[in-house]
Amino acid sequence: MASPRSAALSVLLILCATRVSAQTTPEQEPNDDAGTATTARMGDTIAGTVNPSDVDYYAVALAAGTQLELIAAPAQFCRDFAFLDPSGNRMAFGNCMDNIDTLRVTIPATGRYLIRVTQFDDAPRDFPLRPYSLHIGTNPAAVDLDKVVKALLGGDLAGLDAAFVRQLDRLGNGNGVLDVGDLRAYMRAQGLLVTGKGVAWN
Amino acid sequence: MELRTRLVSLFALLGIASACGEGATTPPLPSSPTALRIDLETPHTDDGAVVVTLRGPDVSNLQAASPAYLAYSRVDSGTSEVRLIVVGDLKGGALATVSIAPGHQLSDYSATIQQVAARSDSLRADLSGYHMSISVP
Repeated sequence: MASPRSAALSVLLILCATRVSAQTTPEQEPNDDAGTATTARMGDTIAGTVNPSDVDYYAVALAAGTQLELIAAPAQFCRDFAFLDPSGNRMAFGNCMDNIDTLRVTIPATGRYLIRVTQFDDAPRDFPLRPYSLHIGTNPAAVDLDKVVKALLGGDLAGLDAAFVRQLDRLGNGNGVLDVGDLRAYMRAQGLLVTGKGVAWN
Repeated sequence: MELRTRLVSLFALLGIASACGEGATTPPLPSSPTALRIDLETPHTDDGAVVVTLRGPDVSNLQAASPAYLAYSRVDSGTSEVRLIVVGDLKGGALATVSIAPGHQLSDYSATIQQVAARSDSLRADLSGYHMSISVP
């Protein structure tokens, strides 16, 4: 039987392990293509430097159904970032010209996905390395948002708990039915309605 | 000098004549569009979300027309129908763009508005004054 001291130590170790699981992952050059991508994990913040002649790749293993949220920290240069599927097809794009700093993607199939960071800000002869960071996360509220959106798009409320639908309606316009006004209210309440900030959603 | 003036006049007349000919009045053959723009006409200035149904064949790659809008869509290929939700501080004008497969015409597509919510989240009971239009961007 474990002593209280060893039990406390176990809890501490678990807490430490939990803290370590979400970390800052620096880029490991060379990471200029999909094959040499720096490996990152869900919950990590990836960080590196980039100039116009450089491209940085990160690989992250994601499960089907994950509501990925990729958030770029503010940068003082024109930083673009793309989210690619395991075959290298672009699923979402954070274009600095459109001031997009958040990508939200529903992962369609379990696999090794890629994040690509580039910059086009500097003149070709000036190659200062510019620092950037992006957080790879998920928003639990986005899972419910996905269900609400699907219900509204398909007209099928079967995937939604009746109590949750009533809660959404009360939060929104309280007219007794789930509608696009309730969706808007839910998005605002969960911080998912970031109009004007620039969010790309796949 | 006079000869040059006459020649210039002659060429000018020939140019006008050819412009008035059959070739100039025949409109170019309409090329098949590969993208469509969906526009919202609204009587209000505080729209916050809309549900739109787009009907027509081979629609894909729906994108919000503004980075300030959030767009969600569902394609039902069986009925050639796309259901679209756009959320944001909506303004009249371009709402979304879609890709279409070659071989279709603009007249193959139509869009109707299903629901509108104000920015206060209230659902508009009266949709009169709202109109959707589709164009080739």
